[in-house]
Amino acid sequence: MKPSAFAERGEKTWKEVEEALNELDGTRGIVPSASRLPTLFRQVCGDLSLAQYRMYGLVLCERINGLVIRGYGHLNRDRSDLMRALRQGVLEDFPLLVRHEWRLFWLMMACFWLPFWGIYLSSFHDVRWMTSLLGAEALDQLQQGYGEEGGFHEMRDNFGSNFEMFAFYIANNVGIDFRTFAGGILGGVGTLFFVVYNGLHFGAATGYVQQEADIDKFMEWISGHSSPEILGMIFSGMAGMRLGLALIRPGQRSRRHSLAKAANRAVKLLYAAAFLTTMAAVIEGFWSPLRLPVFLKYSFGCSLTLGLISWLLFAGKEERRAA
Amino acid sequence: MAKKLDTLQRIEIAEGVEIQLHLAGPMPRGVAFAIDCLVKAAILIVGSIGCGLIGFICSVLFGWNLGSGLGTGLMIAIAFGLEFVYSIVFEASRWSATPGKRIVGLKVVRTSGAPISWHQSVVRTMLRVVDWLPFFGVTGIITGLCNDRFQRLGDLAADTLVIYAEPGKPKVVASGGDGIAPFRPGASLTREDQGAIVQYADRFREWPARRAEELAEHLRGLTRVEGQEGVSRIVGMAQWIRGEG
Repeated sequence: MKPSAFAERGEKTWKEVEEALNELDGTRGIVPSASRLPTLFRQVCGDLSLAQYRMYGLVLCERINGLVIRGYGHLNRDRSDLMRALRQGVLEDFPLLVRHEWRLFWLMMACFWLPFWGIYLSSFHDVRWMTSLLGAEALDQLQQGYGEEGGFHEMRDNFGSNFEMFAFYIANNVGIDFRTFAGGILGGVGTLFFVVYNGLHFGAATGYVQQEADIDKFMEWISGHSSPEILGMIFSGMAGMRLGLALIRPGQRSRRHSLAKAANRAVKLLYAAAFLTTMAAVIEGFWSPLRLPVFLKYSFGCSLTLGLISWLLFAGKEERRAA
Repeated sequence: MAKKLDTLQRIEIAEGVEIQLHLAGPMPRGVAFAIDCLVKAAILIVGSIGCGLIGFICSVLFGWNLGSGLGTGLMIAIAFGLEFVYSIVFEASRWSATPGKRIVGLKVVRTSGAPISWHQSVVRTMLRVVDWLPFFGVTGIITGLCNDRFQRLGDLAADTLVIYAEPGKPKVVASGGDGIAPFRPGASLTREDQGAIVQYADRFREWPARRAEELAEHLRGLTRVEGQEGVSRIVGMAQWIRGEG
């Protein structure tokens, strides 16, 4: 068959597909012509392989190729229900995933808490180490917030400054989470660095306040938001290590394939990290500066921590796969 | 053959046919990135003016003093949104492209050619931080040049490709032989050779005449003629292969 005859024969179908695709391009929903699309699409696929095999030339092949790509895109459109996915993710998939990845979880806990306690305990020996680790500016801020004469209540006198700090915590802490994750692609080294660094940093701040300022004010301040914040960091660390391990130990797969597969899994941990860190920022921005009895603040922090622990331990059923 | 000659990515889809994606290299992607930077800068400027105005209006009309922190806070939120949310949302949207990519005519797809999911969009965007290192996206460019699909680290992890959005418009003006009669090649040709000849006929109008002749010269053994005549003969053979005439 001549190319011209082939084009003439196919033209009607191609036009129809083109119109259906144009209509679909303009909407998120479904248009009447869409019901014919699968049938038409298979015809166009047949036309494409014929045209390619018979070498009908660039113009014809490219036109049909374009139709197939567009049709393929529409037929494979992601139509998953975001809210449903979210609910299932929070209540079932995520806690299961964390329990499944318990080794990474404890690895990250160790990477954070060992440096934390190490540097904190060393503050009893010599507090100058904190000074060199944190820098003068951070020490100043710690003195302002938790020092004898200063106090974090005085620093936050209106809604605006609360909001500013809230936005700052989000941008800063969630940004650190994301970088912790991204650092995983360097064979996990970037992730380890960020987690250990954070452990040192928090440990040094705690140690410095313990020695030179008022540790009670400090505890009151961090009681609310510390558990979601640290958990968020641990999760982003786990996500990053997933990436790194996929490169270091790809198993039976090629590194490329292994990385893509690990990223798909890791990103769920990252969602949880972003969620927890945002939650921490809300608490730190608006709850922690409130002038409330210390007892109330501690109970809030404790119940939040217990809630998070039981969520990780008990949510989701292990046997779901059998169903 | 296209695999050797072109930046085409052939993918076999479930229907059993091969589609050809036109991969975008570092250059168009760099341009798209630069445009995105301009767009973000514009949003940031408009946002800061807007924040200032809101604060001003609140204090003058209603006498509310929200404190300067509110404006600063909003600015931080906007900057954060631009760094991460911007590309995630745009690339996971129906466009499959940030405004910059859309202007340049690019699009992000799965390696299978299907539209990308939210997960993939998130992974790509997060890893941009690493791809940027140490400066100007050097890591991303080097990684892209080290594989055959121009995938930066983010693309590799997310399993995505950046392609030209409208592959249906080749730069060739027209197919057909301009009235050149089909000519039967004097020897039997492999499919690959046939393909090369057909592609030559499809494209020779893009090149200067001298270049077309120079290429035709390589087929001297087959065409047995020189110069412009050799070109027409190859086009004639393409006509014959296509079954035209």
